[in-house]
Amino acid sequence: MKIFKKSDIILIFAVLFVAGIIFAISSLEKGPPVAHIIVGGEEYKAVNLVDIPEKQVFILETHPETIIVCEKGCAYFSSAGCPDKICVKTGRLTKKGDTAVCLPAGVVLTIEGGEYDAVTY
Amino acid sequence: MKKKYIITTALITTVLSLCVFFSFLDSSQSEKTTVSMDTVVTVKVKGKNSDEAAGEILDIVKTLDSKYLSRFSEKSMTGILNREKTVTDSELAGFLLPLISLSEKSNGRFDFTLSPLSDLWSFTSDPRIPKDSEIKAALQNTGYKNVVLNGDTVTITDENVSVDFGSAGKGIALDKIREYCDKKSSIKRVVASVGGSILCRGKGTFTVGIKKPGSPGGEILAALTLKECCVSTSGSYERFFEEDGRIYHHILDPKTGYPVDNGLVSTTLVGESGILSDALATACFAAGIEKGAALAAEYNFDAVFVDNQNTVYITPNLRNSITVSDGYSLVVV
Amino acid sequence: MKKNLVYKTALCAMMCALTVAIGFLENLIPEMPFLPPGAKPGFSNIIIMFACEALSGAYVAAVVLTKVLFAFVTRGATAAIMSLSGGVISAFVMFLLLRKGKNKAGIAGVSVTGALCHNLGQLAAAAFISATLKIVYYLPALLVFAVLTGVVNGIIAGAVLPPLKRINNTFEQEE
Repeated sequence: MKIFKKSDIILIFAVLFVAGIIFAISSLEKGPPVAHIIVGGEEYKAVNLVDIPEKQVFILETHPETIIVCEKGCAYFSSAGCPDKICVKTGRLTKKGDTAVCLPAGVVLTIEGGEYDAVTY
Repeated sequence: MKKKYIITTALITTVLSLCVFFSFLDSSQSEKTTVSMDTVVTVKVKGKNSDEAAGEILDIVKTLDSKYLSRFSEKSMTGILNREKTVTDSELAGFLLPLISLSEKSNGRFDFTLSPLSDLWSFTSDPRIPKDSEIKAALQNTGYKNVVLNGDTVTITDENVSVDFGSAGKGIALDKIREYCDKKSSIKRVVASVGGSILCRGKGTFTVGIKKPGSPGGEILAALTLKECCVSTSGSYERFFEEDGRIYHHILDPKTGYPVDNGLVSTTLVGESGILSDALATACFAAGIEKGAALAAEYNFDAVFVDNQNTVYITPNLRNSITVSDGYSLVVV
Repeated sequence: MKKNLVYKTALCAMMCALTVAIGFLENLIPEMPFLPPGAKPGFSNIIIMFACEALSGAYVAAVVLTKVLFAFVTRGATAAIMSLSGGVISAFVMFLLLRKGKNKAGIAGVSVTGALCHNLGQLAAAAFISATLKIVYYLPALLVFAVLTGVVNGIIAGAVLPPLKRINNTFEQEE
């Protein structure tokens, strides 16, 4: 059987195109980056990452336990009790759309709102 | 035939993925923050060795402050000048030249010698309303006309007058950062914020928000889409205190010694030069909308004025670059 | 007849063992900075593709379930659910494509489709578990990654499957 048929190439480019469009649309919205902590489907906390004076640590009573840190310009899982720790390995989230998830704990950390380059004051 | 096809495709894919991998290694992004010049300095750099560059940029700002601009240091050029009343330094002279010129062009609405006055109001420590007589006395010790330039030599002709870079220092820092970035070809994009004065450098457009006064959550009252430039804002909400129902803020009228009272809440200036963006922001605030817009135009700057009725006035060039937030109306002057 | 059954069972068992071995090796891969975390090259899809062509649906299901069981034992219930949702859908789709739609897609196409279904199935399960749709933000990166791994796996399959099939046919005929 042939490896690449015409329909394959079309499929590949179609998928890449769709991915690009989704990415472009999600990057459009402007606003200060806000970190949303969602636990069990409900929003637990929204933290504005632009005007945050110092580090904020959230210890979530989830099973397994997860700890989220919000500081100026970024948010991230600092530790989690799940076996894979994919959430922690995701690292720092800085711009809109950046997301880290701990499935066993049911926690989603995501950045919404666009990214200003800067705010003048 | 089939084997060759497989091998070539595999090779191409590997090469492509390696290229993608390495390009990610190079075009890294770094963000660093520090405190200097009595304010928060943040820099975001995109490019090779962005981490190193960001660190060096912050060092430049710190050095600028300690070596030249700080009026609280005995060793800085400004400290020496204010103490000895004369100093020969090309950098310092270079900073003062445009400030003196602006003071003249603005008919004294901008003045960089107001420290006796601002110290009287002491906005930064224990603010108070000074007595009329105290203000009059302090005013005697101000006046940009007492600062004379002769080549690289700066002389203050009145013993009680001193130079204060408070309303231009942040802009000067922006210029120094830009100088550094232009020398480093590895830097692709830079956004620096020195106490709210912004430098945007690099290809493409930048989105800069104007902060909503009194909003703790980083909310903005308008967003500007700009090409590379310097943006500075003077706002009455930055440093102020309230007494008997009246608001006293830190932008003082050099003629009366009292805070400027013209209904303006903030002015934002957009242009090429950092030092001018900072100084003009103060000058245009003091001058008011009409005269301020004219002054900005003279320097090829665009301006945004916001008054206490939530109306945003802009110079014509910004018409297509600004989006105001809900609750604000837009007027083109 | 008996020999055929024995042969098929043995072949299936070998596939299962290979899947487990591949799963184990893939778990060892460290996280690359720019990749979505938890993303794996998915070499086991090559095994599934071969199983789809050489064995019947029941055996393919067995291989998939072995993968799921391995994930459960080594990484926990959540990982097992992820593996199940992605694995079942992608195996099902690849089975259909390879058996019924033989002339419609090349191996890379089958592989990419399989990878896509696997990721989408996992995404749906993840959205369900975390009870939020915000996971959708992962889509663009997942799509791109699915295409990439799909193409790479397709190329490998293109090199590895034909000789394997030939060997399999030889054995099958030796009744």
